[in-house]
Amino acid sequence: MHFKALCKALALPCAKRRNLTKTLLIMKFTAILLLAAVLQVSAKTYSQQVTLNLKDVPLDQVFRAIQQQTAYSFSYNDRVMRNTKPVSVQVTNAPLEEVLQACFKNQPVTYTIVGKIIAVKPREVIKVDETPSAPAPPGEIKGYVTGENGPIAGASVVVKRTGQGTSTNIKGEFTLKNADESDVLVISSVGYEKQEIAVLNKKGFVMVQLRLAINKLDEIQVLAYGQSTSRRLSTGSVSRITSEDIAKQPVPNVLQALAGRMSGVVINQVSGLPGGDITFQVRGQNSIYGNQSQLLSNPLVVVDGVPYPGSPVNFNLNNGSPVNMSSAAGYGNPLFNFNPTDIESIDVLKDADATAIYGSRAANGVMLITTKKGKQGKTRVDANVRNGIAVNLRRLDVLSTPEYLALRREAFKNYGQAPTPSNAPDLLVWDTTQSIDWQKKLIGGTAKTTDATISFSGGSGGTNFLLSGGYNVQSSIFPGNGNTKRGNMHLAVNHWSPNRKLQVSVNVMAAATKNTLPRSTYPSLAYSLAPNFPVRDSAGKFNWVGNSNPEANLLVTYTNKGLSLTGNVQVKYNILEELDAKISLGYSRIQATEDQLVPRAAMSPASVGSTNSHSFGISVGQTTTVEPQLEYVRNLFNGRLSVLAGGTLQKNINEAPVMLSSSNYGSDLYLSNLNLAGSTVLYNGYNAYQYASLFGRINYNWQNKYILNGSFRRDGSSRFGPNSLYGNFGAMGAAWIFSNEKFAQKMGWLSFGKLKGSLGWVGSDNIPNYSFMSAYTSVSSVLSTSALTYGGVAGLVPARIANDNYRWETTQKLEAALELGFLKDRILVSAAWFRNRSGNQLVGYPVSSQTGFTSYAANLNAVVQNTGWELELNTTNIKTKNFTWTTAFNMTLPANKLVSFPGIAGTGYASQYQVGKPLGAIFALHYIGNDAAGLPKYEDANKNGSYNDFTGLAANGTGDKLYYGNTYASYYGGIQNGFSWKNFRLDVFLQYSQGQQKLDFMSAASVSGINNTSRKVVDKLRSMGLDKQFINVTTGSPLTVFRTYSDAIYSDASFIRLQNVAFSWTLPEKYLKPLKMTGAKLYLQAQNLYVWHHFNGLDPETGATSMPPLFGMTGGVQFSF
Amino acid sequence: MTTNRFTIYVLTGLLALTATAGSGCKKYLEVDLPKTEVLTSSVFSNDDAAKLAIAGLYLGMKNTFLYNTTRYAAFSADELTYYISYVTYDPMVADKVDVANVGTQELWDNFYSTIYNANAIIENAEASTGLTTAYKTQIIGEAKFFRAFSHFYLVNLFGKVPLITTTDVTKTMYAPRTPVDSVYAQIKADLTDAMNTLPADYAIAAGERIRANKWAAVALLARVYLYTKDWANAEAMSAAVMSNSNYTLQTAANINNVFKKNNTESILQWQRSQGNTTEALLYLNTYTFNGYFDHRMQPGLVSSFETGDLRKANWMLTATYSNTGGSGTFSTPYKYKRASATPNDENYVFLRLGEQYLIRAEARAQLNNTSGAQADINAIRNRAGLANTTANNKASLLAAIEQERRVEFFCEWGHRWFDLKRWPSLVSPATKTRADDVLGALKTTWTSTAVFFPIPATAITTNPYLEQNSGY
Repeated sequence: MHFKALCKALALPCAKRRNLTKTLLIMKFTAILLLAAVLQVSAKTYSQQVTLNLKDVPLDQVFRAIQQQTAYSFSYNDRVMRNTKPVSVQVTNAPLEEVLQACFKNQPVTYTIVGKIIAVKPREVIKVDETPSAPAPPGEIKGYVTGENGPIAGASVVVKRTGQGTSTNIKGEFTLKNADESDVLVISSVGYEKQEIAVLNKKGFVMVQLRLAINKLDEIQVLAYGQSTSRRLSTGSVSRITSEDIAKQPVPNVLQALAGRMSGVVINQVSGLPGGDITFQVRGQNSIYGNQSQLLSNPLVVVDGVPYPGSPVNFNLNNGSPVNMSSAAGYGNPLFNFNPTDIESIDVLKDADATAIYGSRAANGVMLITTKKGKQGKTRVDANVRNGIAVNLRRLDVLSTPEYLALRREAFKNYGQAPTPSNAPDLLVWDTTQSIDWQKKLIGGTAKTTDATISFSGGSGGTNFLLSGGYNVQSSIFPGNGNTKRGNMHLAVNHWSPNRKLQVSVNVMAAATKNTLPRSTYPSLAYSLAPNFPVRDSAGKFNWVGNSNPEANLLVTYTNKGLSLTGNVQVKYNILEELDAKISLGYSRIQATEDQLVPRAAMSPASVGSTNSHSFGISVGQTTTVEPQLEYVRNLFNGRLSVLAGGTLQKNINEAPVMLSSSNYGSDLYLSNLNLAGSTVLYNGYNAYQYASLFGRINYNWQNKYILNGSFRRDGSSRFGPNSLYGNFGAMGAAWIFSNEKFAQKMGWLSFGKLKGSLGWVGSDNIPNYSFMSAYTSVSSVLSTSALTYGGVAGLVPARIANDNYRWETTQKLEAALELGFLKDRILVSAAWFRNRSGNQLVGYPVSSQTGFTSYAANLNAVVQNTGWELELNTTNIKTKNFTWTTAFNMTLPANKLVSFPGIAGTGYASQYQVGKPLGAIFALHYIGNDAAGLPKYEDANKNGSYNDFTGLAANGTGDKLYYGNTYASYYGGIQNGFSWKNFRLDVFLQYSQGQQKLDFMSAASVSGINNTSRKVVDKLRSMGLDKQFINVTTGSPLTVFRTYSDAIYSDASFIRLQNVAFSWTLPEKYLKPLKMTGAKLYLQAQNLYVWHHFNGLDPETGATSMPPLFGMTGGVQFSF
Repeated sequence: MTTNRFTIYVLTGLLALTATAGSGCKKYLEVDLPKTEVLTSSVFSNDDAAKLAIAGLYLGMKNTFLYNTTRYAAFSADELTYYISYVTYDPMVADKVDVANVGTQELWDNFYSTIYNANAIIENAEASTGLTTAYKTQIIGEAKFFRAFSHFYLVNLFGKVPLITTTDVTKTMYAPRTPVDSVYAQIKADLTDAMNTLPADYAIAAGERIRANKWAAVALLARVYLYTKDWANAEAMSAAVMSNSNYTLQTAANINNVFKKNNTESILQWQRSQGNTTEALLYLNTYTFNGYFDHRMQPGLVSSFETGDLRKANWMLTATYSNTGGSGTFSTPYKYKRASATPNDENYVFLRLGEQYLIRAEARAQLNNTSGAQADINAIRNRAGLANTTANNKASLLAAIEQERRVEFFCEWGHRWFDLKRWPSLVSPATKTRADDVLGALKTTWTSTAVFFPIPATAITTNPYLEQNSGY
């Protein structure tokens, strides 16, 4: 209620901060003095009791009486008291609060209690005159700074005249010496707009409410361990996306909303299907990963302080089990468990200064997800409902039936053989007049999405809360009824004790998901099934191509039920004025229960040894963290020093408590009854990871001009042997905000200028668990056979080649950046240069199988370097009363290089990497035309007389492969334009990526069997003169070599994608009033509208013939009460 | 006052917690093992635990890998074809295997995996203080037998191969190819050790012939001496097995017992705990479902059986059909007959007495012991219901032995493939092998260098010190 009154007084629409712009003229910040304040009527006043017997006395006389009986003192201005009315009070042992309320009733003034001070203020807010009323002798000024959620600790308060200042304590209070009533104070805090306030009060008491920043520079940036800063003050490199940008994109997985919006961050969809696997990479590939899956190389994901799995729990490299199940969409990215609407912001930490505090887990970058929290004020209800569709608009141009049949006959002719019913049923058995559009049938459906979210939030006293629930269902473009569903719940409660010394917060998120997408590979079938393939023969039985039949394959059912729970509890206690202690306990659990039923009817009768089967598995990933911390903050030499010290204990357990595969059911009808299985094989898997560290950070900010930041940590990881458990890492960062220097302030056009740099070392233990350990494992878990015993004894075999000398991989990170703001921050530019060098590479070192294994865990004495430039530009192009046009642009120019690798020639890597070239280099045989027989010829790069030596690189002297190109982009980024006119808003976002090469159609060229193929492939083979040999029933290894190793199979995968267009209309207030709403918005959003590219394949991002990203269109309504 | 005291408590608590986190780290960082793993030191801490490792040595040789050894060698020789074009098998049938062939790579990988398991048992058992001396000696003997067995197959499939006698990766990862003589020397040494240490009966497996014993080592040693042309030792070794009371030939009436569990001809079998050997399933499955054989014996092999040979009637299955699988009369191996899991009465035969007869026959023929050779050949012929051989000099005896080995060991463990490669050509014995005679006539794509599979590409890319066989 207080809050509402305050907003009214300020003419601020509380519910719609975005509309603040209305009350603000462009970049012109009017200083507003608030003798008003909010919240925070200390509960202590209730315990104070007074006895008064006064009749018709002036108000200030009552004050004096109360002052005598309690520990409270009053603060007021004579002018304020001028029009007050006399009051009568007769109470005995009455609570102070009641007495005060009675006294202030019908008075032109009201009051607020801050600590032990009762501040009296006019009922109406007074705007400050620039000229103070009267000079007063120099003295002490006290004050109190609040924000939307109560007192702001650590806000900087500086006297403009002297440049000297202080900062607020935990309760938001400050005391300034050598300042007086004539002074103007400059008050700033991270995440809030800076305000200048004239001291007017003779008593020397100032109260200020800061407004949340809408300026990009002042937006809060979330850092490690619940710390935060703003872009203005940070020394590190952080990219950020907020709920506002997330909300514009109708994506089921919040990760997809990041694509192209952050410099230095690459998000790649492995499959275009909703809920599919996604990989992401921050500032390039630092590690030679050996045989490890890309799915495991994700950055550390931290949700409200608790690490969350970044890769799928049901992936066997995670859960330790010997088998895998997965749907058409892959394993499913775990971040799909979050409702994007619940997320307030995502911050990606990039450089050493920002990441070092997370130590070894941060080598691939850190992604901090902050969820929404309740805010002080009236309880509000927000609801959002949207409906949408997604379709595949991309088609592969395949041959028509006559063309296909002609090609098949040509293949037989080229082979010199006549087709027979057994080897060419498409020519001789099946109806050759049939023409089936498999792409329409199998991937031409419309996926429908429904998404609904409702949240309740609010707060009063010292408690804020938020409770939200969401539901999302998305069907698929495939035949059948498969879909993905998700239900979410989120509860966040935050409480401060009345004296604000103790803060307790609890955050719980839960999600249940269900994925019933078909397991069959419909995309590849859609492109490859013969156009006259009859699903059933004349007798009504299924026809088969290998083990595929689109209708029969539908009989295979796959269900993945997911459960996700993340919870954390934080207790923070202010021990001394300058010292806080905090303990954070976190737990996350993610579970996948998979069931896959394969009836015999879904398989070709010819498939050897196949029986019906039922596979079942549970995968569980759990993370527990305990993080005690001490934080010390004090003002020192006119600057602000903060010191953080703490520790982390983390335990991850990923396991498959039980997985089974059963087969040989007497009938397909019994499949769901495991008891009726003819044979059952049981598995389990287990993977534990423990991590402990001590860390410290020190930050000194001198007058917002010079900022120094240093961090150190000692990490221990269970992934290393006892000889090298620990690693020491640290970083230094510094920033100079030169726009705060006197000389810069004369340059009117420059509103902000900062120079910063950082250097540090980050470790990595991103390798499989137990890699160093010498152990034996059960035979079945390694070989997946059902032969479990020999002579009645279970068998054990060596699990791996052990390595006791396994050490930490270290990345040295260096960065320098310049950030500038022009024309009152209407133009913000930042340019950063970085260089990361990773040495001591941890690898699954590929070894020749003569060692008994194909790899073992080892450190490589190789150095990988990632350098790059990151540019960001934010401009407000037009800003008038009704129309605003803003642009946000980012560009990253990365360069990856294998800097050194002593002795590479003697290792297995000699055939994969070349010193001086990127890790993503493509090495291929250089196609130079055909020989007399019409077979491809390649350059004999190693001059040994044979040109087919595809096992190695010419540069390393091991083969004929030459450097061809790069799978990494040479530059990438995005550009967003936002237009708002009155209540309408339009956002258009383009993503681009240029210079990368990808395998194109030619790599999938198969023109020999009973399968359709791309017209482009046929045309190209003809134009290359390879048709006689490759349009052939038997092509043999020349085609394999050509489409696996030659450079004729790549094409430029550069693209510009119209990724997102979002349009919204915020209903004007006049419509809302009668509906008792505080806000309502209608919106229409489209995702992935168009791609400009020259790629010789379906989509430059997902590849030649993988499922391209779907086009999506969503409309919705969002309202709040 | 109370606040201060509280403060002190909190501070002390936090410091204690932090200190615990620091000092307790080492302890804290000891994670639970994966539930499917056991520390190596525990495995070799006592006899009962080590039993699991020795069982693992046998189980590690997957049934697929075992029958693939048989099958790939049969494709490469003049024994088997596959009914449709298949990328892995076609090049074998044509003797044009390329370096990326996954089939030959599987053989390479699995034999070396078995060698690793054997070396691990040898090293860990030797280092163990918990094992009894008797058990230690026995499992080291078995491990050496399989190390020799694997090297024997590698050297015959690939020619010169790296000789691996340690698990130390720093020594093995870049080990070059070892000359064939040296590999054989190690094989002989390992088998001699096994012969001298392993028990002479089957008591360790309660009478089942599924664990390598002294006689398995002697039998394999006989073959090794034969392949290395040490005729006297080949004769001595085979004679030792043949004279042992554990082993007698089956009668003609019981010829189908040769591949049954624990029959008297078997010296070493491989047990499959769940059901029968999968070789029968491999050859018979498509026939059961679709009415045709996918693996078909070469016509030359089918017609090489003499009239009345019981092995043709019992160990080969013939069917005439016309359907999607083609049309005509085809035959497939039928030594193993149980395509289903029950009744479980077949084991996979590694070594059998029949081979010892023909080893001794060949050694005796080479040593010009005509009557001795005849006797051994006749023992095998009579068991197959055939009359005595008419061969009576070295050349005709060797020809008779070739014929007998061809029909006795067809599609079995690569015998035919290896024989063709080790025997000199009858046409130009100085420069060519019998494979050139036989396969050169059968396959237009034959080249002499095809006697060895190429070293798999993945092995070479990860070990540049491996040179490729000539011809690849």
